[in-house]
Amino acid sequence: MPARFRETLYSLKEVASLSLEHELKTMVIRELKVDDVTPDDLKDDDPLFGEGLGLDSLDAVELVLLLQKHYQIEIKDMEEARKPFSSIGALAEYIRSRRDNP
Amino acid sequence: MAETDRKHRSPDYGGRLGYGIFHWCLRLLGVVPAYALLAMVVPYYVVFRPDARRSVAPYLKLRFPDLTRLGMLLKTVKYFYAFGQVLIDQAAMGVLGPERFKVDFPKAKELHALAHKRKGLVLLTTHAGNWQTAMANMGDLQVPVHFQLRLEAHTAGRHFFDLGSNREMFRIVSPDGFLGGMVELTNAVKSGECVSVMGDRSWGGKTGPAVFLGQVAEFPIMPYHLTLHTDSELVVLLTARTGKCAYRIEYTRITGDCNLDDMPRNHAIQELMHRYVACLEDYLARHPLMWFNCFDFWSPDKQDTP
Repeated sequence: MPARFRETLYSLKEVASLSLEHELKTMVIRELKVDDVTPDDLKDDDPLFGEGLGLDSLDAVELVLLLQKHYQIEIKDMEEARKPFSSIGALAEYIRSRRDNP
Repeated sequence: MAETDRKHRSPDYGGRLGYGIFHWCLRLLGVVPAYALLAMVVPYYVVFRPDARRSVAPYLKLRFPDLTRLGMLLKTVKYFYAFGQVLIDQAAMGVLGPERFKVDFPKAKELHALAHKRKGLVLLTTHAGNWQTAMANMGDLQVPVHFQLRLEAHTAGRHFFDLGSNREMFRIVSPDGFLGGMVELTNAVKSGECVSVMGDRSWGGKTGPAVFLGQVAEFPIMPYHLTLHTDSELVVLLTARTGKCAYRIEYTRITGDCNLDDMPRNHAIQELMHRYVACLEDYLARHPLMWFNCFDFWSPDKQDTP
């Protein structure tokens, strides 16, 4: 594969992955009705539950449903959810891994 | 979590020793002698355990506001006897076998039909009557049922999960797990299965106010939030004692009308909560000694439960 083409491909992948984080931030803030926070305010590694974004267990209902609706991903139980639900970055990584390994 | 347990824990009614004595009385002599033993034990609690009297006073004062002091004392004796009978009945199921239990469930077919729509069903139970009876009968639905609760080791009601019919359909979801088990409960309802939750336990989650027996109390929002977000059905199940080891399950469906669809989500949550509280008040008007939350349910202190 020519080097320039390889570099372009890697850049596109980088942009796509950044987009997923941003997409998730926008979706979570909008659909969970988080006030006074914009996607730019939220860092990829900020906690989602408790501190950071301050979501609670009720928001977990909507987050589970969002994943099913927009990404066709089902998280089975609390143990499986623990890591992906820790931050937007972890959630994005989880979605990518599920896409790569359906 | 210890803070939660202390605020929701009733005084220890005899503990392991007491449970053991009644267990052997049931095993050797049967249910009626166990009731007779109870009749001797109850006055002890009423006279010598002020913590036990204080635990039920908030409810009895609201439910029977016109009682004199003597009247309140007698009502407290009756209350503890009724409570004790339910505990004995629960233990009897484990000791003497489930066939000794008579459960009348007039609307069982309606519940069965609702569960088999596979739209998802939230079953709302309460610490009133013999709530374990209602739960154990859910095996007859032939649909997986996920119970959000803590099963304590010495509780008589454990038997219901060991001896209930079709118990392979039961799953226990601990409210102490990550996010209170909401991931499992959401998946279960969304898959068209049933979820059983307590309408009088928040397990540290968000609560909302409702007037209950004339005073404001906090109730968990989760059952209504889960129902509305998953577009599922919500049913209130309450049991009433009708005799020796005999119970009737009362069923009230509180979703299924278009009025909820037209409301903003937070109003719909409040509406469902008020419907549940109305069910509970109606039940307690007919079965006043079947409320088994032996702590001050109306205390603002409850709001801070982690």
